[in-house]
Amino acid sequence: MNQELDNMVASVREQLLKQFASAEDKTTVLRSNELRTLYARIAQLPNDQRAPFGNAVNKLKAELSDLIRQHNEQESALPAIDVSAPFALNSDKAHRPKLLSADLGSVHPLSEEISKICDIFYGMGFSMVESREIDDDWHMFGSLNFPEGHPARDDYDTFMTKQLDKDNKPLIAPAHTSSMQHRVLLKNKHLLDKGQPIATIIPGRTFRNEDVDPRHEHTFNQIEGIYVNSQVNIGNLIATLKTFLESYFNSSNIEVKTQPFYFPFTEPSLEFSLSCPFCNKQGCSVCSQSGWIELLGCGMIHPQVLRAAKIDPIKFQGFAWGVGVERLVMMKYGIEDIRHFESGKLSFLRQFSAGGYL
Amino acid sequence: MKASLSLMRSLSSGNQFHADASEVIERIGAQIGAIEDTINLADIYKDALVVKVISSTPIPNSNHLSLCMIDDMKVNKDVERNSEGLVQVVCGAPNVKSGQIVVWLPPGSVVPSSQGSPEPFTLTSRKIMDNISNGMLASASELAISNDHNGIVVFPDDTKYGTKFADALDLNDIVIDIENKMFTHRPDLFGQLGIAREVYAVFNQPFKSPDWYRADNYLKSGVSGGLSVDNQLVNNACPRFMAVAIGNIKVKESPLWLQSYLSRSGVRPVNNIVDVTNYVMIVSGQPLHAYDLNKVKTGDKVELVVRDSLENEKLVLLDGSEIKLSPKDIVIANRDGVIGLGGVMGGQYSEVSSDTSAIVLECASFDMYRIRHSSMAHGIFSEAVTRFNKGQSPLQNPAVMSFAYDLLKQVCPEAELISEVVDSKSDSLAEFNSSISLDLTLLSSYLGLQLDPNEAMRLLNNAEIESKLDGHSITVKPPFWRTDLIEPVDVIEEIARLIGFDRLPRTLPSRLVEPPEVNHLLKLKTAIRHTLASSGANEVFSYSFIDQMLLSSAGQDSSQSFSLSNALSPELSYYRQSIVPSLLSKVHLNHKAGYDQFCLFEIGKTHLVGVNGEDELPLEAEHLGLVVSAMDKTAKSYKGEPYYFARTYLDYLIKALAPGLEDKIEFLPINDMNTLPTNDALWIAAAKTYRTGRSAVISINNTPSGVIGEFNTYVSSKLKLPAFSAGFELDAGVLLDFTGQSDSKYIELSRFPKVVADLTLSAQNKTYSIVLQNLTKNLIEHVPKDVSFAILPIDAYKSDKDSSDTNWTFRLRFESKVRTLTDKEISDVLAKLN
Repeated sequence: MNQELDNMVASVREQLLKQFASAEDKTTVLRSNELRTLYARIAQLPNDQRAPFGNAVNKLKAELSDLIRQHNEQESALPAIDVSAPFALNSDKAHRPKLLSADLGSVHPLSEEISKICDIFYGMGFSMVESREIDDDWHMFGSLNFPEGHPARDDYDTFMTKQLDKDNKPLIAPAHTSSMQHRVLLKNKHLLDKGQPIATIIPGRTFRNEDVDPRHEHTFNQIEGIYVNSQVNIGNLIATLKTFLESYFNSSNIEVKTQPFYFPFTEPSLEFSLSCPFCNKQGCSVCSQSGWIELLGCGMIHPQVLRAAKIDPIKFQGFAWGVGVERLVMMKYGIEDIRHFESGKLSFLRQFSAGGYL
Repeated sequence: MKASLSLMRSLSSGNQFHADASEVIERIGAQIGAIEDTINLADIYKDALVVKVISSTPIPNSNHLSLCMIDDMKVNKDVERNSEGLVQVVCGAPNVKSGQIVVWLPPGSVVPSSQGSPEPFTLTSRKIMDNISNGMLASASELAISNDHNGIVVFPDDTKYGTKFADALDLNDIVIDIENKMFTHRPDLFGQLGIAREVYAVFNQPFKSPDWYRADNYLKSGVSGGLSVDNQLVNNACPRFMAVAIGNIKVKESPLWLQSYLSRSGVRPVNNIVDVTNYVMIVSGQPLHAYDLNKVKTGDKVELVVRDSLENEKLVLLDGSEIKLSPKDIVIANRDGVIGLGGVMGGQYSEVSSDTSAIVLECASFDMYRIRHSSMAHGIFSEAVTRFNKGQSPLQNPAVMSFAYDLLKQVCPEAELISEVVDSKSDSLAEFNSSISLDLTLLSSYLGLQLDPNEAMRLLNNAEIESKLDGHSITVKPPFWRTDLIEPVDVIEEIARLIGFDRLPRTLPSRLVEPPEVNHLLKLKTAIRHTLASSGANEVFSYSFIDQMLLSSAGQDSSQSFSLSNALSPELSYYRQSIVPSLLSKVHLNHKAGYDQFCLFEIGKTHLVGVNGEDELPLEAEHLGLVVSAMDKTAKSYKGEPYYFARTYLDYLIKALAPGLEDKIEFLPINDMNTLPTNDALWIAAAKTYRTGRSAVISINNTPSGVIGEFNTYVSSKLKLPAFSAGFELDAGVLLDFTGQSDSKYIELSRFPKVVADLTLSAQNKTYSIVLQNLTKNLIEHVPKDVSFAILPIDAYKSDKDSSDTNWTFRLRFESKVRTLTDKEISDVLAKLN
């Protein structure tokens, strides 16, 4: 920025600070003609001078806003208290605020369900690790056999940040919990040499750039599972998921079926359905009268994914799946609108308290 | 991807394939891919009949109406006939004439084009201008075969009539719409030929491609020269470009059979030339393009160039829109400029039109990544893009070209080749589809069963995949149309799918008796949830993304937040720096909904630009945020500041989950936002929301680990918080170090009675924590060694607010395991404490 513009901002700053000190209504500095003139000036400048000048003006405005905020704080300052004390002065025990009644409290139905699912898999021999909420391109795509520019990336409407990762690619709000697969494989591959399997489930929050409606959310929860060992077969995958579902729905007559599917990080890839546990395949509103519920995508881990973690795909095979939690919970309780989950509405949350709707 | 069952059946040159439609649909769903929709054409056309117009006379005073008597050979049984057995129909089409063979939709039938619409149109016998019309004579548009509604459909004069229309155009068909996503790695399945092959294979029947579908089926031309192609692209961006010039072209409407196949595949008929290119694409999956030769030639030569676009070159597309190209786009050009966006869409100028007399037919292959890039950059999602961005095999181009020319000769018999067939191809084409060796042990490991190698080879052979047994492995030669068979597992997928995944044996993997490693943090988070829920708090899930307004209301600097470059809306453009602001944004709405007081909490991850953790990725701090809030009318009954409401929850949580922590926690008062008692960026950001004088940094083991307090005026007014609101944010991980520790306050039960005494200490200008520290120190010093003690604060009193003197009352409990304590002993100790 040239000297003249520099001086211009400095002189306005000085003027406005003076005005601030004397003004009755401190907010007038933000509405002052001087500040307006500076803003008007931005548009008149040649392109190369706009950004530095604009930044300087914005900085001044931020400084003034901060002053006003601090002033307001002081104006409305309340007497300081002894923050180390466990209760207030001159407060008799009967009138101190107490913990609220236990029957009002609730755990969010999604965390409750995630715990429940994790517990079943823990019992089946799976350890647990949570997924990240900001990750990089390598973990979201690269390590999972999605080459750069591959059309399969289009199926994951991925949010990206303006900030870049160490490879100068945008950081990513993971669109699936599979973004943890590579880390789990790397961290646990020593088990394989000891003759032990890698068996981990990964609950986590995932994000898709998708318009929100009663059935769709941009933020949702998934649980990923991965299992690697020597001599793993497709039937192992199906049996593992079926066993889980029997435990989850506490039913021994769950039927399952699969359809071929495509994911770059599994081969073969399958879509997995179960017979509707709510109507025993008779057809009901949960399964749209079809008797079947399409539940999740899964498959045998692609050799490229194993290779990326330096695991020999001839010696070891594995399977992986990812299941959405919201839909399970919606089915279970008959929740009509997915948006309730992140609404923070007590009318929703307290339905999951011991006291019920209060 | 719409697949026609009739078309599929017609594409095998081997045995005809027999299975009823419902079984085909089921097997496609189970072994090829998810079905989005099935359309039963036979049902749509069940009533339409091919009939002869015996007489057609204009109705006086009407506009174009004719009174027709038609002969359906008395096939329809529910209609009024005249003495000669003919049916009367009023027809508004200008082209109706006696003697024509046409299509009649009798009364009671539904107009095919209105099928599936919200209001299907059922025909009746009704009076038009005093004449009864029994149903109608139909146009191609009404029959949903094309957009042509200028007149009724007319068949050649020698067409047999009194038959079902569906039989005439092979419409006893079922169209199965399969989800495209399944075929992302299977470009061959974007052609009906590919799907037909799969269907045969899943039915365990050998498929045989039609005779023309051979890699060595080259179109031969007696002409030399006349066309040249200069492929300037590098890196296999265009591995193959075939083209030929064809003269004596007569552009007209396609025959009905061709239009009908296009329509049922979801492609609009245009004219015979364009329809041939589209039909060939539908069958083979290979897009073709026809240029008007006279529009692309320079002088009397056609010299095509395949190259990167220049910066800012422009092209008006077939759909009339103009796009600005960049060097990332592949273009087809002549000396005058760009004539098409390669693999995506042709240009309008060189489009085939009614006065086209010669064409250049292109059959090319492009790099799928570049096609995808152009498609995304220009927002063009054509049928060609859908196929080219999956990477069509360049080895099928010669066969496709030959087939296209044969078909063109059918719809335009006068056509003739007027140039040589140019085949500009990359040297690396030979590297496509190298053999794969599949170890039989690996195969049985994946399948979970021992499969006879001959059976595996037979399954592959059904899908025209050649293989041979080589000792303990099968050598597989991927056919020229398959681009997805790269390594053994791809062949295993093929075999497993052809067997049927659901027919493989299902057994659980073996497992260790050893329990899996415990994730203590997850366990702790679950414990926090249950502890807080059992104290009346409600767990909230709120978005990880927040808006600029909430950040600035919370006093946080948005440049410290990770921000989305493609946010759904401005409300969701920043990652949050702390959890509490999200909770504060839920306070007002709940008060408004009638909840007087509540405690909300959330456990979530927070991020700050510049604060990194493992893998050089942003540190993901695990924070517990909690907010308590009471409306004025409820708060009136409380004594004391809301700060202590939040403390009640924090103290309880710590006592319940990490009792060892109580002695290691300090509350460092926040008296000035500019000089916070911490230099940890995460806690500085979190602290911005709080009120000076009424908040503190929570320090655990001398490490800043949280913030607690009331909220500042700014955020309170912005978010309409009631005065009685407070909260805290805590690093959940910190508790982990103190959970399950053995230094709980258990005291062995004693046979001897306890002595309880209350003690009031006057504290001049001292905080509670100092008073407590001194008291503890003094007690340790003065209490006999065999006596244990416990301290419980019970009251704090200050006579007036300006006094610096606070009286703290503690309840002390003394106990010895070996003897009865005397009152005197205790009062002596107490005397020393003041």
